[in-house]
Amino acid sequence: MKQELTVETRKGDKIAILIPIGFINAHTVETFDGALRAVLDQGRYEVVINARSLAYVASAGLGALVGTIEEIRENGGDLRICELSESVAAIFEMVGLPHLFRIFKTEEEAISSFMA
Amino acid sequence: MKPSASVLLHLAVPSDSKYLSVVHERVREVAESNRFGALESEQWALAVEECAANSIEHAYAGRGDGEVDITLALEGDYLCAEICDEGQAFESKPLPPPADLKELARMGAKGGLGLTLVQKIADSVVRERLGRKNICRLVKLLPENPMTDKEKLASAEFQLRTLVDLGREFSTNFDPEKVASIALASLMGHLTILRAAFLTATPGGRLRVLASRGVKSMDSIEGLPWASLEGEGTSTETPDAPLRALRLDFIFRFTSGEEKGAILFSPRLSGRGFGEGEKNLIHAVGRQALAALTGSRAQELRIEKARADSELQVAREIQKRLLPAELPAIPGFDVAASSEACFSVGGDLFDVIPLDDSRFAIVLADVSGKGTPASLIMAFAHAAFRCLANRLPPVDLLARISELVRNANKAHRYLTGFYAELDPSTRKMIYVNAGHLPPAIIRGDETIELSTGGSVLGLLPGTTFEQGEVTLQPGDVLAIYSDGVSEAQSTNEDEFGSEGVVACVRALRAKPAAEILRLLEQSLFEFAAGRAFADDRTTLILKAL
Repeated sequence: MKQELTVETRKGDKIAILIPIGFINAHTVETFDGALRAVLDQGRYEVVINARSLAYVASAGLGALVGTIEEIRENGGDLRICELSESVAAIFEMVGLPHLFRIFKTEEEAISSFMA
Repeated sequence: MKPSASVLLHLAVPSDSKYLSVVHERVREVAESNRFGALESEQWALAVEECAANSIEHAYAGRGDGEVDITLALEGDYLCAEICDEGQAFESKPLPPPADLKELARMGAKGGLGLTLVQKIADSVVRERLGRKNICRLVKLLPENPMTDKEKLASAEFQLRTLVDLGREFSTNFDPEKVASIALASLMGHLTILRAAFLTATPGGRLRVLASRGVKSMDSIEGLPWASLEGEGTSTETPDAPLRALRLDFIFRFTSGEEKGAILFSPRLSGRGFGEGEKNLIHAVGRQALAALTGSRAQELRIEKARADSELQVAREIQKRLLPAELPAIPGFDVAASSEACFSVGGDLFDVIPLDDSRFAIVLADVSGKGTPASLIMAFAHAAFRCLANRLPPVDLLARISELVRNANKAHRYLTGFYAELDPSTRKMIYVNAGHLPPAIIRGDETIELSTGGSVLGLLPGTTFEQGEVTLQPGDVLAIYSDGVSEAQSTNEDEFGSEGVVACVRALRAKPAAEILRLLEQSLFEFAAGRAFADDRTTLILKAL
């Protein structure tokens, strides 16, 4: 069986880095929601999604991102994304997500963008 | 599905979201084996998965005892997918407009993106209720060009192998008619052409038919003036009646040193014209054959004189002719290049290759070592650049050539190279420097070195590259050269140096490219003051007008 989804989480003071491994679709989105919810509930509103191990993301996954961004920003934070694969980037592009999220090449760039 | 459709996949899964990944994977595989590239296949799989997810979430409202039926079929030039369920009817209103992201974000909504995605991916989306069934039907036009990148690469490598095989054949076969006939056969096979002829010019400027295939008799054109072969790659400008009568409408002319040759083709079976890459192949094969013919003639003479170095001389002549005698004109630029081997044969190469999108590839490379072994790698690399330019983005092209060279020689010979693609309309040049001496752009008093790239070609497995980008300004002079130029030594072993090259070109920058080249070579000779050059010297000057 193909890896469905596990989410690794690394936490700093205010920042959290989520690394979804597998795919996010209607089936696995709850796992992802749970991981994202957990860091938000701990007051970490600076979130980086490192997408390097993300095989694909269906609309449910996109919805999970879109559906929390306002809450995150109202709390003075942001959700930024890095290391998108070509195919995931194409999906982001297709629904216009790059207008809504800041996307970075490397995790380092995404993290340091919060320092600025 | 229409009766004429050919079904590629039929899949029935329980209405449980845990099966969505199975749907995704199977659909992706089917798309990938039916002309879709990796990216498009992934997107198509996503679209079908979204529809199946809709059936599970909405039609069955999460009940796990239903079934979702998925059928993929080819209908003519279209890939179709039908996703059926027997759940609650869809609302009968038309498809909603694409989701507004900002609105969704504001509302914290998590749905609404699925259908947007599906509509963007598929060319047409139709939902209908048929009896107790919901049917969602997606249609997407198959890619126009049936070749995937992988196939394109395979076809480029096939071309490359043809050139290498022909080269080998030509170097052992000295019968001009056979050489010409082999060249024709392999081109006809490549391009699906039924009738063809290979002509050369006699010293008196007349047509001589060396070989023909599929043509009953070529007698009617033997001895016509060479000038009868006007125009290239055109079907309308064949001026002479006997030529017209043969219906060999496509004429490709080429030269090798002083020799002139032409290959004539009937229209292709496919009815298509010739692409830039195909024209390049025809010219490369033609030139190679012509070079072998003249080389073999030279060899016949030399055997009579019992000269021991004849083979090397033949190799030198063949090699000289591999490099373009005349560079294509680049609009808004002035370009010139030359290459001098220090032994009979050398390991340097240069080329300017027109690309399909009216850009130009510019290549200069230097094989480690010199002499015959280096020259073999040089010929191989030259063919590889010719075949793969146009097919791969620069960084992938160099990675590929690195692999090809690495696999082609066990002697750990490698090459340094500079590869650029220039867009004359914007003057933008992307480039990759594979361990080569950085070419210099001379802009007034400023010098810009082009060093972005990576390691040398053919030495290490899995070498990867980065590309650089630069926009040339009017008056800029780009000098690309091999180390034989900058490392030329004077009698007291001083080197001419990169600074020497740059200073020399800067002083000459107002002159035409060919003149810069000539005067640079003259300066080198003056600097060397009679000391023999120790390495091959190749320079390419590109001047933005």
